[in-house]
Amino acid sequence: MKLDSINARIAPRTPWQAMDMGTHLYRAWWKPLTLIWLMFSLPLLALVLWLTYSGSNAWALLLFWWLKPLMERPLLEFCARQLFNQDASIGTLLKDFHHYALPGLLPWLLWRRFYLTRSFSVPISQLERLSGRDYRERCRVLSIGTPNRAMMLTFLMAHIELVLSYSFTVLVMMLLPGQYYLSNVDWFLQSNNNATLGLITWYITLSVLEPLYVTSGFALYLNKRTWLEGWDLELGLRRLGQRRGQANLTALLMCMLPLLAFSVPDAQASAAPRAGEAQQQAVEILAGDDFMPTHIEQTWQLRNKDSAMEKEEDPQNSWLYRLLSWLFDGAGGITGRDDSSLPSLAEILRIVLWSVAISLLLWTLWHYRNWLASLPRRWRSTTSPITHIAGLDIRRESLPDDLQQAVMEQAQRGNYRQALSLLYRGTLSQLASTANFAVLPGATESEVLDYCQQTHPDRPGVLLLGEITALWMDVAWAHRLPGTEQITLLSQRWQHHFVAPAKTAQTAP
Amino acid sequence: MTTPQTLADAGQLARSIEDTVSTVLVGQQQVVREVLLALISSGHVLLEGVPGLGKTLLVRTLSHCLQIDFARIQFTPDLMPTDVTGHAMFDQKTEQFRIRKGPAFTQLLLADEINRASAKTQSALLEVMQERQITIEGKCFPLAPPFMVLATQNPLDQEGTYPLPEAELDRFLFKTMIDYPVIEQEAKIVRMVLDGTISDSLNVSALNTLCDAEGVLALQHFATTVSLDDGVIDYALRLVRSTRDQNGLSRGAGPRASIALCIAGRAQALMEGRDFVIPDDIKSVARPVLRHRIQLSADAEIEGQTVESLLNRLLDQVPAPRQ
Repeated sequence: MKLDSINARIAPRTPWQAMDMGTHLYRAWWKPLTLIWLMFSLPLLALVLWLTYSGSNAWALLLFWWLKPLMERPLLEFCARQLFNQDASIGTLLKDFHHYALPGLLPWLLWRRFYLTRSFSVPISQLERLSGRDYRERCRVLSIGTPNRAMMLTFLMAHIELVLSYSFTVLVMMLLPGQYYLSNVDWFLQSNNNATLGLITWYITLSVLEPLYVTSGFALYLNKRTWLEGWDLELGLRRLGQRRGQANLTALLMCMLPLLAFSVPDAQASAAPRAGEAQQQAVEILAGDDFMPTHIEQTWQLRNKDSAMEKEEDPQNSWLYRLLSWLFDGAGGITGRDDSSLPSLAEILRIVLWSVAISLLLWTLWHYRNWLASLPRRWRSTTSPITHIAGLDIRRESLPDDLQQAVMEQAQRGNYRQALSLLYRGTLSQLASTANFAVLPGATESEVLDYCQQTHPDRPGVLLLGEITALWMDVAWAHRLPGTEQITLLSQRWQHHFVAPAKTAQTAP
Repeated sequence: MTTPQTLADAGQLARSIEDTVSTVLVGQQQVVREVLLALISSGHVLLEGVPGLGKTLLVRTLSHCLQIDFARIQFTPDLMPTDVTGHAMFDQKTEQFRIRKGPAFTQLLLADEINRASAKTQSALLEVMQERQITIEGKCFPLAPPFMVLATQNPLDQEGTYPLPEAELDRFLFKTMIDYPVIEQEAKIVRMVLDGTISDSLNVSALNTLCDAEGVLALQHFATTVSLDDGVIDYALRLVRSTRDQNGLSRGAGPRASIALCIAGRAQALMEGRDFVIPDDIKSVARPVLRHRIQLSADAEIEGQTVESLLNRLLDQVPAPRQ
């Protein structure tokens, strides 16, 4: 980057002002930026649309989101070239695509894809061509001083993107006939047409927001470098030099060397100074508006802000660290000092925060109590044998050892209902012992039978279950008692189906 | 055309009516079944569905097959109660008041788009539905049995409508959802109209008549003789009571729902050819009986739940009776 050729007025700004500068950049270059975005993203959109038509709606949306860093690279390259008066034509960008877009891309599509400071960090790797340890060291250097707010920029943009694309979709939906009306949040994945419409509205939103996101992040990056490397000073001095001649400039630079030693590391002087004259000029420059325009600003600030700012550089003084240490260690954590007047207030706040956290936990447990209560049942259904079907106890322990004899005894005593009940439970128990059953408590006898017929149509006991169920329903709901012969016949068939094959299997060598 | 003499005959007649109506109203078997169940149970039906799905055709076909009177009222915001029930008119020739009976003096009344009328007119219909009599100028006129109201409401266009109050909704035995037929059934309808098998002009005169008002009354009588075990009644009660403490419902069903479940369960058993009610009968009529008697809470609506999904969950959770 040649600072001489920079195409903007560089000045140290607050991060929010820097983002505003990004917005100005976008407004100045919105036509080429949008064109570049469309050129490099439309092929990918076509691929993603094809995926939605082939039914992979969720994958298509995920793929498009995942490859956003790739589509942002030409935008950033354009901004950098345009700012430094280099050739930023679309043809050049297309020709050089593999030079600037592919090197260092892989980490941005893998673990760095989830970096919330992407807009700020990508210029470090893409424009400065840094990777690995150099990249990390450079990031560390650029994180010195006031926070750059790149994370906040990502949060803001993500929310604006979500709101705008969803609103745009709803607007389109409102113009469609009623049967397509948006009814719930997972609407996008319900059909291919829905996913296509959702994707297109999202893409249109991105066509505005992505260039804005890149320019804002780039402006943050430039601003940070301006603060740390004194770009504004360097440019100001160079302008002066141009005005007053090369000799004067070098003298001035030599004079100011002690002043600039910490802020302009790459500013070098190549000629010896003429001390008296240079000193006089330096005083004039420092007093002039060109060097540092002065303006008065009135703001509200805390009384102990100075001491707080001093502590900010220490990571232990970050608000998150202090909040966590305060929550777990006590009031000293948040105040950073042992102030006897604050603990009582801090203690109250701590109790309130803990109460809120516990209440949230309890509310979550209460809200999902049905689902949580069903978890043991679900685990049991996959790990342990079935003990109940449709509310009936079918454990072997709950049934007599010799079921046929017990059934006959009940039938001879005239307890036909108990006899049939035993037979019914015994049949279900036998069927469940060799097959997986998933019958809900609300299932009726007919539904249990239907379930068995659908899931285990080949099992010999299912036919018997059908006959027992029909007889059982007659007894239970119509109060028609069967004859002893019917029960005897059914119990014999039960024995034949379930007990005889088991005994044969046991006696076989 | 016969009047059934036994419960088995009644079941057979009910099924033949269902088959005949289903030949005209293709692809709406569930709707036909529920309307017939309501007729046998002496109840009224609230039909909800978009226009053009055959609601009028259904009523015309029923009226023709059962040889009972039919009338239709198109409810509008300016409809007055006297437009439904009738009024007393001064006859200048005889110098006396003469009663002019309204369209409600019929046996099968189609109240189209009932929620477009004002609450006052809806209340007039409420008396007709509940009391089965109409009072004009202090004089009561009982309606000729069988009397049944099929009210329709349009779910799409809710502007300028007066939602039915809970008290009136409770008077309907069933709320039946009439939806678009599946593609095969729709294709069948188109082919039948093109072949001339059925007419698209609501002309049902070619259909056979199956019984008359006496036959319908006999069906209703035999339905009351179907036996109902205490365990099944208990199941119906548990289903209804579970709606009152169900998570996601702000309003549960009242005692009328329990009664409706048992009555409709009997009709269902009759149509299945049984002389006793089994839990499946109760379960099969639970959705149309309960769906208009319960109200989703705001939380459940925000979570995307529907009355149908909640009812399905409830039917899965409430244990079926075991004797």
